[in-house]
Amino acid sequence: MTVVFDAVLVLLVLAVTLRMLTSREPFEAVVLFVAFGLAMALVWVRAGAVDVALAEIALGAGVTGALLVNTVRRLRAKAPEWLELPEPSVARAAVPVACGALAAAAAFAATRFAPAAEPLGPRIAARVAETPVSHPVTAVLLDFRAYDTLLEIAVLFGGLVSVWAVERGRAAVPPPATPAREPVLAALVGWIVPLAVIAAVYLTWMGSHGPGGAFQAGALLAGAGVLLLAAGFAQPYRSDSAAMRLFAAAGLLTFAGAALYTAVAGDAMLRYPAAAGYWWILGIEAVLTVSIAAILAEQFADVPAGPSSAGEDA
Amino acid sequence: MNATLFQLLGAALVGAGFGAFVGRRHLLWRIIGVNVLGSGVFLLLLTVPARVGGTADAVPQAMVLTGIVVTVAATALALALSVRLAATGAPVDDDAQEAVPSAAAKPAGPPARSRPGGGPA
Repeated sequence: MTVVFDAVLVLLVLAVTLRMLTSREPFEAVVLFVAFGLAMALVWVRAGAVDVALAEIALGAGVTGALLVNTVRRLRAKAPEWLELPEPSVARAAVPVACGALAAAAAFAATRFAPAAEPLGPRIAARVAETPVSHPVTAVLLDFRAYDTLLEIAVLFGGLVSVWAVERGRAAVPPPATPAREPVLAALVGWIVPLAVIAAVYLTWMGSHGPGGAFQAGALLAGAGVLLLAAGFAQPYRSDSAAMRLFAAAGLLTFAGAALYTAVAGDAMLRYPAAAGYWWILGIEAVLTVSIAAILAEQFADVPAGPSSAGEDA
Repeated sequence: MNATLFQLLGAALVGAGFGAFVGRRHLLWRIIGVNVLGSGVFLLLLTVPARVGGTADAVPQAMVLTGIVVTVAATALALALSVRLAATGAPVDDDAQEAVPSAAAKPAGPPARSRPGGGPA
């Protein structure tokens, strides 16, 4: 029975992918990208990786989907000729052959060659009791390989700084004088935003003993923020406001500070004090959640107040 | 789970994403193609060790989580760059960039960057 479900799921992902990648209409491709992310989340659940499924929904489908919608909207406003697609070159018949060969080689390698090293899962499971948390994935992310996560938040922050640099001096989209507050939209936002905040707090706390964590929770919180912006309930902030910069940098600064403190005053870098390790991890995760939400929401800094343009695009 | 089925899906996504990256000319689809390629790699990363261990391994899961976050950051930067490129008046794709200047006498592409610091209103 599960084989049938998995097979249907795989076919669904393949169908959505092919339609998305061969589409001629930008907005159609963007909507299919969100559908692709949701279907991939089901694949992650079936593969036993619930943490990855949460991240795929919140970041892959949610944030990336919103970024793509925003890009299409901005292109339509600034350079509509960009969305009138040129005909594809017919001369590239070699491309399907090449990528078919690539897929076949990858499939052969994945299904035929056994990994040489022993899997780390059992070793992690055996030693997770030595960490302040009980969820193996969180133990890897914030204890065994905490410096990976430190570098990860550094990459996220660096990405935001790069976007600021690229968009420096861009003409801001003027917000409409009075935000349109349609009753249905207002009711929907009134329900979704508080639920998203509660869910984000829950996910942050849950991370210590089950699937969840700062990145999923931060993406959820950012989604609530983008919704408030797009629905006209919040004015777009400026990326040069000191508060937003502080929020965006807080996660990296806190994590780097913890690394420095444990390296100087403790046993080793990011080896938390034994007694209070749980609170160190929870504290870092809480700051990371808010900071990741700020970083992700900053990407939409020029989302105009007023009805989302998604409706027009459809 | 059926590890083999998902390994085949991962391989197919790698091929399809790569195909869009090299075969499509519009930057939007190239960026989406890289994302699909990444999803395929993540799926392989997660399902190949599962053949030995039986269940999803915590270490590849953590790596894939990190990978998804880094992909979002890279995608955001790529999209910002493509909007910026569009605002300079450059043509949509590389091939047209070679074809357009001879057809149109007006300066297309890079010269349009003379607008100091900012896209058109």
